[in-house]
Amino acid sequence: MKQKLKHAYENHGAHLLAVCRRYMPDQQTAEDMFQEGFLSAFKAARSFKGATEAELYSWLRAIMVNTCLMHIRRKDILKDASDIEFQSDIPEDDVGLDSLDRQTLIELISSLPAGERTVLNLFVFEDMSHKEIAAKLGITEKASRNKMHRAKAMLAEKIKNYER
Amino acid sequence: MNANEWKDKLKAKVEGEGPLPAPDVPWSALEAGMVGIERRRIAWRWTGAVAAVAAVIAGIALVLPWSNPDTGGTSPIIAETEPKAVDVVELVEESPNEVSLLAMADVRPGRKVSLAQSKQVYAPEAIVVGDVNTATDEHNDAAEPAAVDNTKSEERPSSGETASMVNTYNALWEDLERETDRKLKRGRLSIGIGSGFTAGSDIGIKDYYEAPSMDDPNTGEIMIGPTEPSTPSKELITLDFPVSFGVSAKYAFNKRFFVLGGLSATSCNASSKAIDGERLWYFGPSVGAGVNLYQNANFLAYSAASGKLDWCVSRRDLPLLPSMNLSAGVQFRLGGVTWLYAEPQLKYTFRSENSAATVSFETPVLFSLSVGLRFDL
Repeated sequence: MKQKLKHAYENHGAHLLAVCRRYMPDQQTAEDMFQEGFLSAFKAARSFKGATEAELYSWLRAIMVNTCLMHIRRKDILKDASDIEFQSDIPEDDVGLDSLDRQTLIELISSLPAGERTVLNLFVFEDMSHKEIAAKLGITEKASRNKMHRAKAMLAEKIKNYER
Repeated sequence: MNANEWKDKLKAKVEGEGPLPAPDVPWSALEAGMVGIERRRIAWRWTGAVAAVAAVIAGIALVLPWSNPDTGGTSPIIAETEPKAVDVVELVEESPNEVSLLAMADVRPGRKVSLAQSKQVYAPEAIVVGDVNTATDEHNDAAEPAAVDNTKSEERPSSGETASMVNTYNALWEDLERETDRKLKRGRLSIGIGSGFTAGSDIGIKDYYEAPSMDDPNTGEIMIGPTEPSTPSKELITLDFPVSFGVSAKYAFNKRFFVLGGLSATSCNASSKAIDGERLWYFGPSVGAGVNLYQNANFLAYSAASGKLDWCVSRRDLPLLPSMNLSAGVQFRLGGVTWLYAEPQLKYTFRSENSAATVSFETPVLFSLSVGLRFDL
């Protein structure tokens, strides 16, 4: 298994680190999660039943996401999850995604507040519904929707500011 | 752009093409963490195995009560009938449920009881045997002294008889102890075979420096020059989870002190740039001395210190590995001259500069467990 993990590190290390970077507020914490994720994968090596490289990547990706979520829960940074409806005045189609490169976009996402960042990641990149997000994070469905809405607005604002 | 389009576009942008920074964490750091996990896993596995063995031994010790001369209730009592009338020693138990093989073993060194006798004596019906071979007993024959008189099996001896039996038993016990002491005082040799398991890696070499060699211009002899720590041909060799087996001899001078020596072979996986996955074999002698902390007829606890020299027979260019072991062991008599021993050890491997290379160690102290059999000669 160590050899497989080494192969995954060499070929997919940057992608897996990018996953951690989206969930974490800074590069150092993302590196820590990346390392912790690999060690968790080594510990749980017996549970990996796949055979292909793609399956290994998906499995490692899921471990990285879970490692980040556990860190977020440990730090209790979702405790401010509120049900208050957020009213955004930023139009949804005015986000300027095309003008940014991949790395910049990842850094802008990671600069969002923890709650908004986590919900956005789970909703957009893990394709989870608000019901599933609510269950996973221990918040209400309404709070999840609210945070997603706010995350979208904040991201649009950050993109706009970056372009200036 | 609706919400789903925005989501798909963001996802495609972030997970699509484009350069990403490589992780700053090197693979070696991850691998080091994995070795630590492996060590802990093996340590836990061995701890579990040792705990299980200890639990089984403790269970046996509880089920089979130890013979104790001071508490006749848990021991078979050796009673002697009227000495002048009949010179026969018989075993009588007060409580049939408390009979144990271990208790029988405790009387073994002094007087042997035949299997037939012990079966008769330890039969549940044979609560007490008294007045055997007397002229008034019509049911017994003097030629069969150990036969059980079923007609009187429910009888209890009088208080005077019980006291006499206990005194006789105590006298016999003292006799047994004296005999054991005599054996111990004149010295006792035992031979052991066993196996050792180390919970971890790096028993030996970590940073390995190839030494420069040069010919001595005067003698033509090939000399090995001193190794500089900064030699660029530094090589990392890790020895994973060594398993040893070997033979040993232990000579007890007296009840307290003993010396021991042995030969052992150690096998381990080696990984490095040059010998990745190769299985290395080490072979070497060990000598030491120790002290018995507690002993009785069936149990021995001791502590010992020994020195060992390991020589890699499969890669002779590798340095000798001198080490020191501190151990605390226990021995249980399985029967006769056979003992089972378990010996947790702490091993410290010294830096070696007596061969063509210098080694240094990141983790020179390792824990290992040896188990095996010893036979008293």
